[in-house]
Amino acid sequence: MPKQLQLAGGEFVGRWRDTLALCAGVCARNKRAKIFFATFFSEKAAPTLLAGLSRAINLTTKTDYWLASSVRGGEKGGAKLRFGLFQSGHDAWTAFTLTKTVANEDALLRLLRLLSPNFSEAYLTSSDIRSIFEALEERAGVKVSVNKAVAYSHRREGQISFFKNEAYHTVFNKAENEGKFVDKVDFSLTGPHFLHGFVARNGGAKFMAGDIELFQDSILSPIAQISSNKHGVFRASSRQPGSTEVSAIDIQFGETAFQGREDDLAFISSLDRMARSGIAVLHENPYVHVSLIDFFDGSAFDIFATSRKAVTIVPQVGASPFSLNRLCNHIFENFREGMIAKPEEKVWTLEEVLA
Amino acid sequence: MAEPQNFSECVDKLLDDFKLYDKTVDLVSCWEFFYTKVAPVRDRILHFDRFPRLVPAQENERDRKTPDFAVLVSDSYGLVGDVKSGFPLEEAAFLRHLERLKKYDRSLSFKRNEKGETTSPTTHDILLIIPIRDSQEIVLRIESLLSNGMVTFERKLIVLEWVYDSDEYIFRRVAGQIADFNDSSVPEEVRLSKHFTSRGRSLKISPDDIKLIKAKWQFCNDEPKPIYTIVFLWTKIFYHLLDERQREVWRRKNPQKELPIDVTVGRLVEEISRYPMEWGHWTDWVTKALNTLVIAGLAREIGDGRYVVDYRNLTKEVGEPGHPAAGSRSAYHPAEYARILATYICRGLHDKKRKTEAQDELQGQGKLPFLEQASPPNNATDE
Repeated sequence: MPKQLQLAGGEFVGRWRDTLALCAGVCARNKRAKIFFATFFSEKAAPTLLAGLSRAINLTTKTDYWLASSVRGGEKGGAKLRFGLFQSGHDAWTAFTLTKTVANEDALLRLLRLLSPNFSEAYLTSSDIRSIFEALEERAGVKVSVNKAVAYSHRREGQISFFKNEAYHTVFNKAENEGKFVDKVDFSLTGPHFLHGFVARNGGAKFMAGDIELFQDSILSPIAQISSNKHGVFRASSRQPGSTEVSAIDIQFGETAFQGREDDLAFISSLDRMARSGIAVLHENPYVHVSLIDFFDGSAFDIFATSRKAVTIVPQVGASPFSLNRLCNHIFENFREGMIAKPEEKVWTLEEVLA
Repeated sequence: MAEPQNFSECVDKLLDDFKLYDKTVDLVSCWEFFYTKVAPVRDRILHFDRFPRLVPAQENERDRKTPDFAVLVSDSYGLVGDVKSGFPLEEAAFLRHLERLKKYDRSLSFKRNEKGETTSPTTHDILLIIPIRDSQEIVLRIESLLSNGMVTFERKLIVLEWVYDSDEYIFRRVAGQIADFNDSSVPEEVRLSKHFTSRGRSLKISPDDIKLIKAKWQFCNDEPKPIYTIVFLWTKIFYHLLDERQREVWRRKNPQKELPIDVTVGRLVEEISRYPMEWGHWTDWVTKALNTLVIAGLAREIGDGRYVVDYRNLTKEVGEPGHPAAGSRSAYHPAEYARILATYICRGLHDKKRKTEAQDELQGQGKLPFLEQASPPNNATDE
């Protein structure tokens, strides 16, 4: 089992920003070292939930964050996973650890996923990641170059594309033109600031080298901000028990996504493939109305494809924002990416309905 | 429709039942949309009632009338709407079908607000909504029966036809009928006589317009066929009856694992009320659904009104569905609940039929109709 790096002096100091500065120092001295960040959502305080897990996790309260450590691989001889945890937004939390192995990153993600069902990762779309890079270039006067990137096609039979050493917008444009979504990007900056980092669509990020403050402000904070905004929309869409009111969200594709029966079936088929879920097709033709249950936490949704450029999801009683988040990400990865929006309240006129 | 004779006909019949009910939910939702979302109509009426239980105003009759919707337009005028999937061809059956509408041909108390206060308008019209397929012939036959005095209505019976065309539900008055709306007492904007008769216009409503209304109610005032109720229970209700330990099994381990739910009709109805659905005959509907699950082999009756439902994620049991891109477009059927549950039910009926036939052979008795257990005798859209 790979050992976790030990910070030289002042590890996990009082404030998380100071701790990150120390970790960045280690990364500067050790090329293999990186800081791994995982941003996620939990309506209950994450430290309380972690403390309640059956496996042994020691939590220490620091000035503005928590230090957690858990022993992996059994009591004796197991590697110790140490990570910091701070609140990064409304219901949003970010865990970070200094590591030089992917095994430690996976271990941290596995541990956080134990907080399910009231947990979801901070899913980003290709467009979200692109907007982070756009804002970074504008803010810091730098150029973002992609060292490596991976994109997948939306369909199950799809392909993987690898990109190397290209301008970020070229990578995103190519992926979009090929009907793919960008899954992860390893990038560097050129210009007045240096930064080598990594962003994934599950909200994971890595700092490898360079300006840690720029990374916090331009990568980490936007990840929390963008995903918090979406989570807020998901939370506001919950249907309360006993209420006759429903609240929907739209996924707007921005272009025609449904041109005929083949697209309808492709959409239903993509829902059909969501893990730990079941669908009932109430209406398949000429428009799509599917009822979906997420067996992960019992959330149920009515999903409509009634317009050419959007789908509408109506959460039913007991549906959680976490499940809605997973469902939207599933649609983005398996059908098409889009923008999440609250449908506008509309009053129709007689002229619109009488002809 | 003839009773299905084999397994695939049985599955198709249940899926047709499912779709027919869903279609009625759509049609009623269109009218709810018109009366609650379209200005100035929504501001000119007193109340749209999606689940009417109308009490005869001046009779000692206690039976409540349950059309598909009712609108109290003003204190002097109301509308009762009934959706039918068609009329029988045979003359006597046609007449009986028509006479069923006479239950609305009396003074009725309409709901005037959400508090449940009621008003009996001076008059109301009866709106019969049928598919365009045979609408002309049906209207001609109705007119003939009315003119011959074979059937009489004190109030106006207006027939509208509907069709789905160019991504819209379209409703219009069927040509050739003498009766017209008796709505001159209400503001012009809400007079269907003005829109449909004088101006010859059609009402056009898209599924996009009604999606939130449909997702809100899920049901209409008609009795659903058990297959429809079962899909609702399986995808929206049963999970919430699992205990925490059972939920944990699905979360962490295998969502295909069978998890027994020990339940009574009362407990299920209580859980359904979270939606809220106080309007339906849920005790009857849930009982029929549970009995159908027993036939399907997905539940057992264990006495004292208790059932054990073997709940699980059924969609992954029948293999992965094909995908259009994989060249299986024509054969593609999503692994979805209505079809899967219909398969279970028909398999159960088939086994039961074979057993009964074997017994009949021994006893020399008649055969069990294939769908007797799964489908109650009444038609979902026609009651």
